[in-house]
Amino acid sequence: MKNIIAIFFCLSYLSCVQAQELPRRSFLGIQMENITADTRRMMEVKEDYGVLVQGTVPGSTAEAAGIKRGDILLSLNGTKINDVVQAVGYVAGQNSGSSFTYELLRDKKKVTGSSSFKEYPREKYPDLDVSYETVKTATGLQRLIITKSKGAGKKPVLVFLGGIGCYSLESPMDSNRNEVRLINALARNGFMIARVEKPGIGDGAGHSKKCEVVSFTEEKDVYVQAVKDLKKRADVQADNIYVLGHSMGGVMAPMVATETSLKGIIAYGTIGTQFMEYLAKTRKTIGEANGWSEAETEAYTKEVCECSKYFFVDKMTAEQAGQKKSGCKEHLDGLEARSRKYNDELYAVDYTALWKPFTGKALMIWGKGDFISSQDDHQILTNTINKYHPGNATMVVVSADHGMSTANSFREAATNPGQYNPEIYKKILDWLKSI
Amino acid sequence: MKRHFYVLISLFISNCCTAQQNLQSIAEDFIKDYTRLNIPELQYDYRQYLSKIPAADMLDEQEVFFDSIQKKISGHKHTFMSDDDRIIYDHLGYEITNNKQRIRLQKEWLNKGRKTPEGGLYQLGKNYYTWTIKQYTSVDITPEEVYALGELEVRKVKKEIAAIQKQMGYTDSASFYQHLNSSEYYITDKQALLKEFERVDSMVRIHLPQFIGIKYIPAIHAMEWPGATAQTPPGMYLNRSNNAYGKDVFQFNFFTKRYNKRAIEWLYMHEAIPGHHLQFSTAKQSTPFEDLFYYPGNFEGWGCYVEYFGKYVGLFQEPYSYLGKWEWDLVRSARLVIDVGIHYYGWSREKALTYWKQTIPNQNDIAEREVTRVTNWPGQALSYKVGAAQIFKMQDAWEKKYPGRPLQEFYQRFLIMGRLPLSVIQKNIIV
Repeated sequence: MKNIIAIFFCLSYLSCVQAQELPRRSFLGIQMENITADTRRMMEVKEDYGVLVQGTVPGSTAEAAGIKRGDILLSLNGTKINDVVQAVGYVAGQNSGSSFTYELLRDKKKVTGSSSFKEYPREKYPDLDVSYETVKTATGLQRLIITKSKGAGKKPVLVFLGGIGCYSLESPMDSNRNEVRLINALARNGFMIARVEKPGIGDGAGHSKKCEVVSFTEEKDVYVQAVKDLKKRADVQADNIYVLGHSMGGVMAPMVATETSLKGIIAYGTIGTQFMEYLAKTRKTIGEANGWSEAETEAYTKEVCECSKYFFVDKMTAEQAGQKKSGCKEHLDGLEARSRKYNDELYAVDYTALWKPFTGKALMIWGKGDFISSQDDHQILTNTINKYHPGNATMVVVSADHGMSTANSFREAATNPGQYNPEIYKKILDWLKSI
Repeated sequence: MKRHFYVLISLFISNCCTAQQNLQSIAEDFIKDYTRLNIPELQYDYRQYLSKIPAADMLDEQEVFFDSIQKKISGHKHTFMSDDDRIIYDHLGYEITNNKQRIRLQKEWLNKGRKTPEGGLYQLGKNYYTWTIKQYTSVDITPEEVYALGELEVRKVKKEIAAIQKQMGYTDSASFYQHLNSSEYYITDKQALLKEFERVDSMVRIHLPQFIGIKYIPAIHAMEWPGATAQTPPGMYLNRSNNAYGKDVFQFNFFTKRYNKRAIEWLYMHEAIPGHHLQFSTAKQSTPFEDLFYYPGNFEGWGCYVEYFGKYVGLFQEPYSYLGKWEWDLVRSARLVIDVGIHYYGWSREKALTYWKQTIPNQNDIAEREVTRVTNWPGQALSYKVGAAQIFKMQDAWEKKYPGRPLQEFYQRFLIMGRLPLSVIQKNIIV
């Protein structure tokens, strides 16, 4: 009887573990173009849907399935493909290893076939271990990507949080991406780096709520859960965990600290004042970056402030604000990439109240070319922390833009940014060694 | 005796092993190493190009490579070569010289602190811009000569425009340009526009055998450029080997849903026939060595050159069509002056804009765009007029060398040489 119970328990546990494992997303690997009336005329086809295959990526699912340049992909698994956006979305929601059928037009004849989705390439480096793990929260399953140097032993951890956009933090096709270069440089210096994807992003597509609909709190909860999970790991120094927040990630960081107790926070290009004030300040620097006249910048700033009031205070949509004042829709469209609730919660953040309880160490980094965030905000946050916890906060200024590319001025950042500036990782490393 | 025998053998081996490597095989060796040397490709923005310049150790490695290729070809004598070998030899020589000059300039730039200037290349020294001109045009021409050519062309084109203005019955320019801006010069119906391109295609094909001596040119299909924006050029050619449509395609930008009638004929000639489509259809199969490079002066030069012969292929029958050719020629001519002005003489943006507005009537709306383009992309805008001028020079040389021989032979010889630098074609077109 005891055995039976034990077996039952194991089966249940296994199925539970399997259910929690986030599968790798699929990789179709085709370059696509929408089908227009002219394309149909040119290629002498009648179908008013599908996407034109411009090329396939070597080693991809599409290549293995025999899909070729010049094919018109009509459907996947019987789902009609209408355009490129739909095709990308459909493939993103499929798991690697799952089989699929396709229908396409080749030389005006319908061709059908089947294959299985290969998994999206993973980040691989000869001197680093990269593992793909799962964070489970009420919003669903999210991806946690761990990068660390080879070898056993407990490591200090840096949890990397990205900016406001719904984008993935991994970059298997481009190891030169700035964040990845920063992450890998820190990993090579003995830190475990944990990248936490936003809900619905990357492998999380189809396995959790979409990034575009989650609230600020729901997103923060994913990061909190990730830190809690990391603390339980055998290869982690549980009392030596930091968060490195990029841009909006720097706003999330102290919220995560409140619930998990962090040793320190590094914020790069973040926000330190009420969101409308931040918007006003940075519209000025955007004007400078774009080479606008003072009058043009002033007019632009005034317009954005008015539009933001409609959006944040009067709770209008971008569309409604646009009807109220010409130009508002364009200014506000970007904010609507996140949900109403996310924006309301962001607007409600009190930055002094947010940072005041944080008793760990803090490093505020701002780039001279960063016209998306303000130097003033970083100084305010540093002063706030030091006011309540003297000596805990340090601020450094580097020659970089918001995306960590080399730039010495706003104008240079807008017109001619250099490549990734390694000064950033050196400053972080020096600071980590000093505390 | 035995000792002598050994000596003979070793002499023979020595002879055998120092025998010259043939040029085809040198070109193959070139391909193997060239691709790993991190040599930056042409970019749309000079600042982006500068950011791709590798570190000094890689430039050293590149220099060793080009020296080794130079050594390999140095034993070959131009006089005793076949036509094909002479082209390979000249092409290798062109790339070696050009790259060695590039490496020297880029090392200087690194030594001076790797600074990326705003506002033009003049801050990198005059030699850097001179090299940039060659990079795009593939012609040996100085900045001073380009500037003088620009000024001369501007004067010539203005005379042509003035003559057409008179022919159209306008004595004052204000009312002339007011007339040209009226809606009668714009096509807003795409089907009507497609029919216009069909008409031009048919007309050119009727006259092409007489003009160029080539009877068959594959069909080319006109279509709206999918995804074009206001910043996208007015048209583009896509060869069937390089697109998903399986056909040779001419794409036109219909983003604004209106198309200037005056741009139909010259643009079709440039992009399709007898421009790029004819070029691609008649060029010899390029070698893998030739495929490593792209010379805008050759392609854009030919496209620009043929626009002068619209009347030979049944086009420019209406004054407005002919005017369209000259209107754009004026833009291209002024670009020569502005390009050199900004990147060689250090003109400010304001000075360039003033020159534009004083030189080009009725096109103030694109002044900012054009000055920005020329500022960001030095040399590229020269490839059209400098390339065309070089082909006219080759034509003159041909006519002097072979008086009485049909010009069609010149065209066919030029076209069959394919994607070579213009200076290499110039050396080899007259045999």
